[in-house]
Amino acid sequence: MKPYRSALCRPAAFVALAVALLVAGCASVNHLREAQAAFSEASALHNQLQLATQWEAGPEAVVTNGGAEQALQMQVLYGSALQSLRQLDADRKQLESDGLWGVACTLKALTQWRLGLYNEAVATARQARSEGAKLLPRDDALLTALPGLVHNSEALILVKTGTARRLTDQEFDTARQLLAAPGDGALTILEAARTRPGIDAQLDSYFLQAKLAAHVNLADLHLRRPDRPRPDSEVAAAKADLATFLLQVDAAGLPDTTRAKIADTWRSTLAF
Amino acid sequence: MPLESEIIFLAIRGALRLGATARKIYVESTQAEALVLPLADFGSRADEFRAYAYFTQDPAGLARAAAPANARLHDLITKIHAAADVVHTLTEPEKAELRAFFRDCYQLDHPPVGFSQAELGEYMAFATVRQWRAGQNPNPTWAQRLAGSLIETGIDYLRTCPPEALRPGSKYEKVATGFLNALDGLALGNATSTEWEAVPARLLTAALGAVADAPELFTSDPALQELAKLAGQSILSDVKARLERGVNSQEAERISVWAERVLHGVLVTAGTRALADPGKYLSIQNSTTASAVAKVGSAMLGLVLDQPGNVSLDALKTRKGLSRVLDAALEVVAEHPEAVGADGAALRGLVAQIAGDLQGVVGRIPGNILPEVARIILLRTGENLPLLWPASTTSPGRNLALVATQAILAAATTPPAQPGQWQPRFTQLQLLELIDSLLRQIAANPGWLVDRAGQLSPDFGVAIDALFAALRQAGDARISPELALDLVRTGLAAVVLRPDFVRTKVANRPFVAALLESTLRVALDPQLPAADIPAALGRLVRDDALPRLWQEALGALQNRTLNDARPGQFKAVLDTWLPRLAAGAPLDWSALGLDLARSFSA
Repeated sequence: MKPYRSALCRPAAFVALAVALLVAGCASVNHLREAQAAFSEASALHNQLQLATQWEAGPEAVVTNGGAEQALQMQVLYGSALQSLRQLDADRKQLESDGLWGVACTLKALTQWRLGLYNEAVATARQARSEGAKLLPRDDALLTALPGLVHNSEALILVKTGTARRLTDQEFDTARQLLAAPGDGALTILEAARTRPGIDAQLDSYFLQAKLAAHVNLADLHLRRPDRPRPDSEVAAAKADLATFLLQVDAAGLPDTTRAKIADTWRSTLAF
Repeated sequence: MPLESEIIFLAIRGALRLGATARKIYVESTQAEALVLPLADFGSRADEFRAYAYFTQDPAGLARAAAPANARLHDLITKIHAAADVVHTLTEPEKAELRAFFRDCYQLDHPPVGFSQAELGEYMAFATVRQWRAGQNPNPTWAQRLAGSLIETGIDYLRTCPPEALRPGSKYEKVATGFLNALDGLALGNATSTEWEAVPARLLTAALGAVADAPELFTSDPALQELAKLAGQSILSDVKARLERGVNSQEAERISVWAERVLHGVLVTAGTRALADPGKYLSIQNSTTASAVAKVGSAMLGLVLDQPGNVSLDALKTRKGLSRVLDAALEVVAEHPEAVGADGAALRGLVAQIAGDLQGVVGRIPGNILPEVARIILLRTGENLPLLWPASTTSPGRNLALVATQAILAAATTPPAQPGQWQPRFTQLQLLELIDSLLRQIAANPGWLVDRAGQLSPDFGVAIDALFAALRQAGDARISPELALDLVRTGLAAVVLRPDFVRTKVANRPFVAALLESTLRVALDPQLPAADIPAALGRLVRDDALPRLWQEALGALQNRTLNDARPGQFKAVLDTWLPRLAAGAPLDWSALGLDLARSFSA
């Protein structure tokens, strides 16, 4: 038997050099992947806190649930994601040629939204669209939805203002506009995102949950101004969205107990 | 076979091509990366406005507010009513009270439904979204894309091979097909980084290299292709799992280099064995064996890559070393598929244990003896698995063949206690033969050497230690290593027949050692006039005479009481024989035996 010597092993130095040259071209992709990982981790923490503190009010909620550390960690992770994403500006051409610029812009806009940088988030989303970045289905739908997500968050700030004191008419109207304006209210924008082509069923469920959150905030807004009752049509629309969402949860193949708890969480949050 | 320069250019071209492909895969997987999305913001239920709505509009809430026990709640609601339903009228403590009433009353009707960690994980998975709808990702799968580059690399390789390699249905084609089939069904998962890029190319090269090195092995038997596929799949899965754990590029390189070497070794050794015994290795019905054989590769890969910090496996990592151990491992698992353990863990554990436990003693032996020692332990273990390794899947350290080998090597290589003392210098071959024969003896005589608890009897270690110590104490350069080993083997054979030879002590030494020492002293230092000594020694210190003398002594004592007087009695008989031998009398073994018997019966 002839002695075996690896074909790819012998010229190890040459091969290593060739591979190293190729790996060097992956730095921007690596930054993007780091950002994706940090964002997903932060989002999981956000969701966990959101669900765990439903019967607690204000910042103390986080503390009583032992979640102060988690909340801090979440902020750090979102911050880290944004830092990685900002480094990508210098590699824009490479990312564009790889078809990843749209992915990066979408992630950046979402991260800015979660960090409360609402104007920057909307500007990033708008820029990605206006500059013709190649957008893949999920990114296209998320960038469509982003202004709606931001409007919803801004409206919640006004709702919270209404907890401490009576909202002025202008504040109330602004919050209503942010949530329910026919053209650019959160509910309309999120519904438009649902109709973007090629989106995954779970992304549709995500948009429906975002709509349910907007319905909750709209209901809370009206509770703060009993003199401005909520139109019945909006209550009916909320019930219809909840029904659609629950059908999707049923179809998602989740275990029965989890499915029941998700349904119960949204039903009771919406007071239906 | 291709020339060296051709191979170098082939490797560079292949690496560049695969590198570019791997980068493409990396980019595409980044596009497709699933994201956990944060739920949109909404207020918490601990809200005094919701509380007020609940107690004034919801039937359940209205009933709770009207209950006599909740007078305080009733007061708070009345206060809000009085201010035209403006909840802001309440003080902060009152708002907190109202929220607490809401939570408590609501939860009486709707017990809280907190998410367990598992349920939360399921909810998060539901909130994890993909870039494309299922089945609509327009990019080829990673395997499809990589396969294209691999095929090009394979073609490059085959161009440098004999023309028959390119014929449809050639051995090369069969093995390459088997290997590419092994890629099927392996999801790339998280191993999408550039670390993955070199692995399939290296493994394909290893598969083709195995054909080039041992073309006679790769017949048209489809079962052999299946074996190649299983081995490749097992190693690929293992490599993928390792890369998914997150490794730096240096570690990834190490993994792929070893994966290549192990796959080549498995294919060639398994092929050789399959050719020699196709019934055993290529039986299509015997899928357990095939699967175990495939796992051997993973076991060896794990052995090399998961090397414990305090154990050096360098001796096993040479091509020859790996091949010897692989060969023995294949022999064992063909007979005992269960010995390989889950994912090859038992086998890997045993070989690592062999390397770890023996690293001290094999260091005293020149050259690389460890692979051969490991091979013998594995082979003998396979011959009597229930006896030698009863707890094979749980405790590699309790392998009796390993325990015995450690005792043998330790005894045979212990340095002299005093400077200048004689030390037999055994060759590797002699030591290996000794280990092999003694392990066979253990397997053949379990009653004495293995106790009821399945442990090796301490008598074994004591006997072998004492016999070698006696050799060092009373022997000298006139005793050849081969003769020394013969004396040890004879002594141990007697001990097997009669354990009292080791359990009876003479001057704090096992009887058998005291007797050997006495024999050596009489034979090597006869109390004769100086002129007679050479003739007497010429008769006794021969490869056949001394062992025979030793055998006669042990035989004569087999049924006698053992005590302090026996070595002296033995010496006295020899002392009477030596002058006769020096004078040229024949060495009559029957007469000597009778003399010994008479002396011991006195």
